[in-house]
Amino acid sequence: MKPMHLYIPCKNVLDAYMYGGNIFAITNDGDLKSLPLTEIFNYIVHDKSLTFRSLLEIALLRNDWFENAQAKNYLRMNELTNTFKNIWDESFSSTIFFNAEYEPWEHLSDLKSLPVYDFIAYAYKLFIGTSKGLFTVPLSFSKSFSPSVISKPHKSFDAKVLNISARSGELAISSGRDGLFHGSLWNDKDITIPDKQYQPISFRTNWTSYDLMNYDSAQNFSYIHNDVQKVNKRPFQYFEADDDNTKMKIIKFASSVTPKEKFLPARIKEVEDIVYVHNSTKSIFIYTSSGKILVSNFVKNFDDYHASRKFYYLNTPEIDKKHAQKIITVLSLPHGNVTEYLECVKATLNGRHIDMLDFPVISTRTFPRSRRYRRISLIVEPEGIHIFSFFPSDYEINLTKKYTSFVSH
Amino acid sequence: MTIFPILQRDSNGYFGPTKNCHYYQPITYHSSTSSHNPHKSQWRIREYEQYGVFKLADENSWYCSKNDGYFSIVDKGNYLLGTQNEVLAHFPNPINENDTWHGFPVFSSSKTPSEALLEKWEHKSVIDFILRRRIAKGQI
Repeated sequence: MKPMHLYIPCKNVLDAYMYGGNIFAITNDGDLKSLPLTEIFNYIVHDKSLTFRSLLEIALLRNDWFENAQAKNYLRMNELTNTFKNIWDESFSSTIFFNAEYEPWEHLSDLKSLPVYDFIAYAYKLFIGTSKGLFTVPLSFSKSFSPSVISKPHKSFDAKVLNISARSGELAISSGRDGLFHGSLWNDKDITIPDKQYQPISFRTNWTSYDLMNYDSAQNFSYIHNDVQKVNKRPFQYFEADDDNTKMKIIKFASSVTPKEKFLPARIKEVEDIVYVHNSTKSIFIYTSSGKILVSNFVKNFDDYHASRKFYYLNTPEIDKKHAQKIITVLSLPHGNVTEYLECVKATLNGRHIDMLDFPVISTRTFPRSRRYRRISLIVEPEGIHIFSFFPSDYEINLTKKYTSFVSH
Repeated sequence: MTIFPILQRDSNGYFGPTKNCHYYQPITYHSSTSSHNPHKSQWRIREYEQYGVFKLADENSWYCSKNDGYFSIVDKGNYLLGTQNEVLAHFPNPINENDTWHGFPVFSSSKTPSEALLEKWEHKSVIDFILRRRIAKGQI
């Protein structure tokens, strides 16, 4: 099935993020701005059918439609699912353009320090990683989810910031060959990142529940375990629908570190042509230069963290060899992923590869911890922003058939 | 197809000099014809092309003081330099001023050019922002 593809022409955007009903973007002249998703939605649907309106609403605004028991119950009916898929395919057969005749973006603030290397929104804040440090912008939202900036961007960290990942009120900051750093929202509303270096090299991190994987190259990583404790209340604001909302507090960051050599089972270590490693919450994915993808699940026991000895090759066609050795980044979708290659972007879902864009892009994102945007990929390229929204995979729909009825007796 | 003029080593086994009077001497273990050493990257291009890549860096002053050597990149990264598809090359400063230079292909995660050099490259259109971001983030 084709994903819904929405294109927003806008030049000079360096990075963008979806959060709290808005797209936030930063341009190469330092303009930090926002665009409400409802603005896009209303512009597009004004002359469209009710069917199209309903489909666009679940594709763009409410990916959580599939999370409720009623939707899962309906999709157990094959005839209904097939009709739904046909209407989706028909409605989203071509790219949808948002090309407003007016200026739809709202200016929020200015940022002097460029270039931007990463940009996320979390816990009512924008975090902007630049060559000159981490900048934090606190946000407030009106009842209609219109955002405003509480104060100007303030510097939270001095070193270069290449990657920011957030979970449970904690920020992991990758600073390349300057190392991995960490900051917390639990005790510091204005967040400052201490100078304590947790790993000597860090180019990206990915959470796996409350632990995280630190990557010091495309193929090499270490597993970082954090001690957690359940608490009753979080002292910082968060969106129920967009931020993770568990009440677990990380009480000790990096309480243990397991290197790759100890983490991977011997048979995987023997694979010589590993070109890229990625992880989701539950699994580690190992990409080979021949285009195969090896998968192994995490095993987490007390003081013992490793990848399972039971690993398997993902049941998808091999990645074209001309792309296999040129992976830039891999991002998680529910039971699938989006992969940015040197010269294109593709998704892998339902055991096949789906072409998304056939040119190099600036940044590619997914939102696996957001309920509203978890089936969305947002891509920034020099001419504009692309939003792709994916229909639930056959695997997910089949899983619902194992569930008991939502009707209580 | 080569984009550098075909040259031979001189009687000392060197290429050069560049406009800065620097000589280049290929190192055997970085050659694609040498036996594979997992700790040494290997060029996929010929020796005179290695010199062309070095000359480009030397004559354009693509020096990185953070890494104490030159970095080079050709044709906005479309010209592959290493057998693992590396697009960057690093030429460490020789220990003695009159020594010859040598170099090897690198991934940006193992040797990352300084922000000052990336800024210079982007300003002079040697790279675009997409490539700058990928180099800085250790992705190529």
